[in-house]
Amino acid sequence: MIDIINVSKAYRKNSNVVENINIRINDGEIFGFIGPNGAGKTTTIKMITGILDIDEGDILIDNKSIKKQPVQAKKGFGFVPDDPNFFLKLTGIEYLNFIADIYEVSEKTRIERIEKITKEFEIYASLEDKIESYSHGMRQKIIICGVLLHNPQNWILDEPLTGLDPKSSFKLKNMMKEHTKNGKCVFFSTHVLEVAERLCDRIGIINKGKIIFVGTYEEMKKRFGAGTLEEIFIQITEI
Amino acid sequence: MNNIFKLLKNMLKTSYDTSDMIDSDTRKINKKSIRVWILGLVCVIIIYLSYIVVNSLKEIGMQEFFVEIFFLILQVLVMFETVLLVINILYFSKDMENYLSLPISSRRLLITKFAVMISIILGSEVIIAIPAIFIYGVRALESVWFYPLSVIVLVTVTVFLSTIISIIMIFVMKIFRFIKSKYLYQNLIILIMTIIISIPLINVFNFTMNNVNLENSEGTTQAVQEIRAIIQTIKNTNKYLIVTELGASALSEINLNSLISVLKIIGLDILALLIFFYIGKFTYIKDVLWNLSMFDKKKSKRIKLYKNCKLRNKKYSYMVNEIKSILKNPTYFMHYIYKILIILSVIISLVTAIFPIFIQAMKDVGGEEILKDMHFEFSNFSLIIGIIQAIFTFSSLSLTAISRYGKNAIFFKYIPMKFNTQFRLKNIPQLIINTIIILVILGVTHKLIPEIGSIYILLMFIVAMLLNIINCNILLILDLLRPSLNYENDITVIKQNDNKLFQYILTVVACIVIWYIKEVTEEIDLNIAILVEVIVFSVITLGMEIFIQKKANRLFRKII
Repeated sequence: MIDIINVSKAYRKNSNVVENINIRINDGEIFGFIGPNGAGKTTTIKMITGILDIDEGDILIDNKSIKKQPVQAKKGFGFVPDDPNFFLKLTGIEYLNFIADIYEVSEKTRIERIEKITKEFEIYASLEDKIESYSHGMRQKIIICGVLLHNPQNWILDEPLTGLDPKSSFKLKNMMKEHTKNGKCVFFSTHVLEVAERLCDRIGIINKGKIIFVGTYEEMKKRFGAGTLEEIFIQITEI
Repeated sequence: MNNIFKLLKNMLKTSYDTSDMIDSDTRKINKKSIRVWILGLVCVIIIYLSYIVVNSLKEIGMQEFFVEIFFLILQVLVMFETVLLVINILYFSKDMENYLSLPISSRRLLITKFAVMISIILGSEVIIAIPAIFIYGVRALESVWFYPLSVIVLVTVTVFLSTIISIIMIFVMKIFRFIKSKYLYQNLIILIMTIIISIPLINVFNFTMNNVNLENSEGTTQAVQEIRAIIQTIKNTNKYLIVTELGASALSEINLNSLISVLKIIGLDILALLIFFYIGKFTYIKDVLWNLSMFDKKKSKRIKLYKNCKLRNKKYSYMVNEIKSILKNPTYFMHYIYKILIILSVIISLVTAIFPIFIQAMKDVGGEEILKDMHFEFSNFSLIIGIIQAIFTFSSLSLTAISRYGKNAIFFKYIPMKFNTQFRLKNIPQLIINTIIILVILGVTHKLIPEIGSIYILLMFIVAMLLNIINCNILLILDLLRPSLNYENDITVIKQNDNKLFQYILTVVACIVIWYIKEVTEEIDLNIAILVEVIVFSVITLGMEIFIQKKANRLFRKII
């Protein structure tokens, strides 16, 4: 569970990038976070993951404050950033082992999971190659594998489908569903509104630093009138 | 030709970020730019050192040998820089894929890339070589022709040496293509080129040193004769390296022969460039394409998970990752490890060659008694610590411990590990390198001056290690407070690091502190003076540790 409570952030005085956000992402749900460019999505995600300090309010990951108990809170999530160009000089297997060490995954579990996950994403054969030799999609996959490897309670994914081939994209979406079926939660940002429409249990829309809607797609239609998510999104973010 | 200039302009823009050095409004040098101050400081240091060397040589009537020494050092620097740049700019640059898709011929791309490489080397020379050679001009020669001529000689000698090294590298790189790991391949090429450059140079140096015949002139001491022997050796070594001999002779005395020497160097340049571009025309693009397609691709389908997946302590794993990120990157390896090893080797060679001469000189002037009466004092202790601190300045691993990762440094913000633990682990590579420096310097000291008791060597080690910890902590704090996370390539992380200025300032401040403690404790017993120094550095170290423990979270704030 991720609980964002009255969170605000300003890079400059009296100029909030994110203003008084309140969202609770419950266990067992996929939450889609959408908004136009510069709306405050990345800032919010950076605050949830502890990359950015929170000016006001707090964020709880499974009831552990990212401000007060950062290490415990960070153990509770796996994060896939939007830029997958990490540790390019390491081989795929070195990277996964490093992640497994950092998250203290046992030897037996890591062997089983690495084999299973990397085979599913079809990068098993490239594990001995350096990440710098991987394509953008493969780099994205190895980062996702790194998150799945330590099987955290909460997944936080920033644009996770960008660069993935259709097959891997389909698999990741199924994995997200599977993850929530097991009582865990997924928080992800996306620009692909069709994915959000079909995949998410609830959607949060952020515009100019403020949350303008949180709820299901059905609730959204009731409130803003019938139409596709794309049509409603354009309608409400232009206000 | 127009296309080449346009391409060159574009490549230079991505290689040099001078945006903060030039004021965009006035188009003048930006005095607020830290990089301008760093360059100014380096120039001042070089001018000062050159002034001392030229004056010392002038005192014994051998000022023209400054040019000989200057060229020998310059050529070694140019050759090593060329090795690194050929790998990083000509063959493995990140922008290569962008240029390959453009309709540019192999020859034009090679000419442009080579021009970028030469401009980077010449850029370094403007800071290092020009001030040094101009000081020689001011102190030793009166002709105004010396200055334009020295610039022409520096450019032409550099072009020749870089071209020759580039030609050799084309062949060496082809021979070792059977190595399929890019990391291993690049490091092996650097090692092989070091051997190719160093072994003949050492052999020539040894050969000429053994064949120096100096007339025994009356009135000269044995020490002066030995200095002359070394200078003669350098001069003879330069003779074997045709182009530096020509460069040195052109600048030793300004006359018609100087012009002839310059024309000869230009002729050699043209010949070398023609050969290089002729060979490159057939091989360059092929080699670049081969590099892009062959290295580190689909090595093996057999993954040994059980062998590779070993559980390690997370702190140990983090530390190993930090070390690997340096060792696996040839640019970082070359600048952070290899450079220090070369500097230490040069220091050992020079000190072991010069120290016996110094002792002999003391004996010649009747100082045998003085030598016997000499005691190990705190000033000697401080001098050695000061030298160690000065050598620390060459290594800046902790100064880029965060910046090296660029935007990916955010990784360290969201992993479940305390920031103060990460701070300490990130400092380990720098601590190791500095410890090697300490051990080498103290080892050489112990070998050359066995009179210094082992206990004092141990005490020096303790003080130097405390200084090592202080250095590492300050450098990492600097990188955390002023991280540079948007760099173009690995070289810019090192070359365009504004924080380097603060490292110089740190060395100056540390030396002042060492000197001040020496002054304050001058009248008291050596052991107590050492104890005072140990206490002072321990208190500083402890204070810093408390600061890091408490403020680590704030220190990591700028990584976003």
